[in-house]
Amino acid sequence: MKAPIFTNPLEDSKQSSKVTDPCILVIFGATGDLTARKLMPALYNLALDAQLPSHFACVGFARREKTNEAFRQEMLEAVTNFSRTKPIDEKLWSNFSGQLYYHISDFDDDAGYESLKKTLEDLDQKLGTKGNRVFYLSIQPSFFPLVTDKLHQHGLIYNPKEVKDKWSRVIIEKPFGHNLESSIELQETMTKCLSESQLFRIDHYLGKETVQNLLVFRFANSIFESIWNNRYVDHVQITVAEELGIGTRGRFFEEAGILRDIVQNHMMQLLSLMAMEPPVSLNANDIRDEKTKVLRAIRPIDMANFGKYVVRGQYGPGLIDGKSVVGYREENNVSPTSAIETYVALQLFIDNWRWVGVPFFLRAGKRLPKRTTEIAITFKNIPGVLFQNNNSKSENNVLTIRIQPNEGISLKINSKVPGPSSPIQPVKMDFRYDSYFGVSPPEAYERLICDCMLGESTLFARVDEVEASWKLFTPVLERWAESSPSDFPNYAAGTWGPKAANDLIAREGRAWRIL
Amino acid sequence: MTQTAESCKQNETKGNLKPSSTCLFNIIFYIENTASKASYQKFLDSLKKKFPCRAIFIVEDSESTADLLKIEINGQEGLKTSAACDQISIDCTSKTKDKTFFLILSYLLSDLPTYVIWSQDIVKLNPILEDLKTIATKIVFDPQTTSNLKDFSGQLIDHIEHTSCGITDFAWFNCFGWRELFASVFNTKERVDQLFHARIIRIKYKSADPLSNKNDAAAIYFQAWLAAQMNWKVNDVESIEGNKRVCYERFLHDTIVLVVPELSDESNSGQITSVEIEGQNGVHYLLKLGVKDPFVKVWISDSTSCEIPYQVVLSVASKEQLVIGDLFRRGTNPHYHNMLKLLYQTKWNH
Repeated sequence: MKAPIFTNPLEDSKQSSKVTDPCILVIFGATGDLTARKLMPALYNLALDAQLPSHFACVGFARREKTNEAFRQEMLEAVTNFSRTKPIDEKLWSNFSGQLYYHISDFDDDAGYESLKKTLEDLDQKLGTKGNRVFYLSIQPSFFPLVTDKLHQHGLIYNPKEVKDKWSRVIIEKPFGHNLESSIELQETMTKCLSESQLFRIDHYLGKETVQNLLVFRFANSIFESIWNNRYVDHVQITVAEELGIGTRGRFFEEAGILRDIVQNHMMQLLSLMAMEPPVSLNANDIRDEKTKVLRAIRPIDMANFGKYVVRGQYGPGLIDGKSVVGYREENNVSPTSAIETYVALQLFIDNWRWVGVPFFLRAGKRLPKRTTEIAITFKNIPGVLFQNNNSKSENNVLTIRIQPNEGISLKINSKVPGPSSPIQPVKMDFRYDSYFGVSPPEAYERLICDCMLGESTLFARVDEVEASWKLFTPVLERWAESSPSDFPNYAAGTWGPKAANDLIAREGRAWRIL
Repeated sequence: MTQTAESCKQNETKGNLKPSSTCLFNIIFYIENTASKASYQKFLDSLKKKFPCRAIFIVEDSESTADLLKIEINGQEGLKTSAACDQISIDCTSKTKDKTFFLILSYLLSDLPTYVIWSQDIVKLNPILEDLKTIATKIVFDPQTTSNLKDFSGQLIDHIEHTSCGITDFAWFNCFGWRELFASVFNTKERVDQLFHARIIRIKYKSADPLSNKNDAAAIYFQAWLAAQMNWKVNDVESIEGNKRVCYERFLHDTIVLVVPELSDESNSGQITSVEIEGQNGVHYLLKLGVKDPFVKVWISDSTSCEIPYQVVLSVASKEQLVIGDLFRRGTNPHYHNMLKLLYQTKWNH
């Protein structure tokens, strides 16, 4: 007989923050960029908001020689530079930094894992962290199997069926494989060492407030659900545009390309949240079930008419903010004959009752004129009965969800211009986060790390979501691999992409939004 | 009424009134005298930095019977954003206060929640409050305005049970951090049982005037909340030289709660500084706030063992964030309601 669930009479369920169990967070790759820019500032801000467990420690695991003190000093610099809250609270930092430790080892060094185990057990004794572990693998994906295997071998990952009084979890960052086959292989390797419930795949877009708001917007407002379908929606555009180039990530980008870096993961999360059916509850699996259903309903790309539905591009030299920038092939660690795409435009169809016949246009690119991520839903125009002469022609209503920057939601409607004649002018009803909520929202990683410590997996990608996405895009990658593009680079930095992308959408009688 | 409205128009000073382009809510402050307006204005100013709103101040000069009703309107730019936050001030006397409600109606922004901050003693009946209840989403009271906590609680319970708007008060916000902390420390059945069987609970709080019982509202509320959630019944309350001794009756033995003021400067008066629990079988909990920092150190032990002491951050949310957190929550908090029912059981000589 199951023990009755304990309800704490002191906990105010609607207001109290959930209590995280004591635990130790071990960051593999702690001297890397992600730890400095995102993870440590996130932990600091969680501490500031009293969201870290009462008993907590963070251990950085890396190869470089360093003392605890040196690591703490470096993390102070990182938090000072990258925390969303400033200035740094000195008293809080003094307490928090005392919980940071550094462990030197190579990823393949058994002795290093044994000494890590001893260190963690000592910290359990000293700090009361009760054996609970989160292992954050902020390392190259090729090391995931090795590190997970070592953790398992040395008893640092527990079998949840056998060990009930403590838990262990592993966080990994995308990419989860580089195609369908490697993704399945990675999954098989990882799940030899841990269960799916212990594996937390971070897609940091899911940690953004604006992305989380998609569910609230769609399902906490009754007016939208009835028009959120093919009877009223003409088409959907999803754009992830960056004005930055690839920076110092040349080596990584040459292996990946933008389809793997952004489209296969972030954009598919946006698409699935935008297109999913209402879940039966806000339980993690119920939400992820609906997201996966959307991905599985996307029509496979017609390879016989590939060029009609998929366009790739690569930026050449151009101007960004009035300054000259080099082309992709001139960037550091990039081959001068590189065939890697820095731009993709796609047309997809979701073959289910809600969306059949509605084209979804996706575009993602580097070195575009501005940084913007948005979902734009264009509604069908009114019947051509009223307001059709030149002075008073109505425009399609457009609902835009701005993910970043200028986070918010706007609705374009038509309005009469005051005066005796009746010209119609589009106007925008605009909700902006920064106008309404002056508080700086938590960064994505804060929410995600906290949720992992709580064991809450809603905001993490599940294996079937990942594989459904790879199943869609692996044939595209294979087709591209068959032949090098003859026209690269095919758009100048600072422009909105290659002409072929305009042709893709124009063929359907639509046009890309001017952002 | 028409004459009054016309005279108001003549007195009306239009500042930079602009329609609020962004506004989350209306907030109405009903203040008994001009002297206390400054502290509420300061509170409003910090609130507006994060949450644009339209604010209406009604300041009643209860000692005057003059035929005065004055309105001043100021449009203010939000500090960080382009939001415009309006502030409307209405000055009235005991003679003209009945008319203020009708003036407010014309200034409220529609479709937005309306929160009322009522700074008068609720025990003193004021018809304006009844009018405001018809438009309020939530009303916030202030236990510092009353010397009779029992009647105060009774009135609040009456409002909760006969009004659709939510009810809350400032002392409830002020003990939020300690309530959250207790929920996180006593988070297992075992610990809750230890708390339930506590023999003595000692709560210390800061006070600029330890002999007077002033500023003990948060501490009283905190222990009442605890007792209400533990289903204890008040047996007796004694006040001795500023200290309070509350006896809670339970089945096998009573639980004694001591509320003890500690001398401190005016700025932190009311803040709870420590909670100590002596339980059965040598169980002992001590939660103590640091002298100048937001950390609470926690010591837990029993007759055979001692847990590793640890520090937690007491919720460092600012007052306006605490207020907003509760305001945005619909209805009346059931924990708060339970606590009031317990407070109503006996005299607190507050």
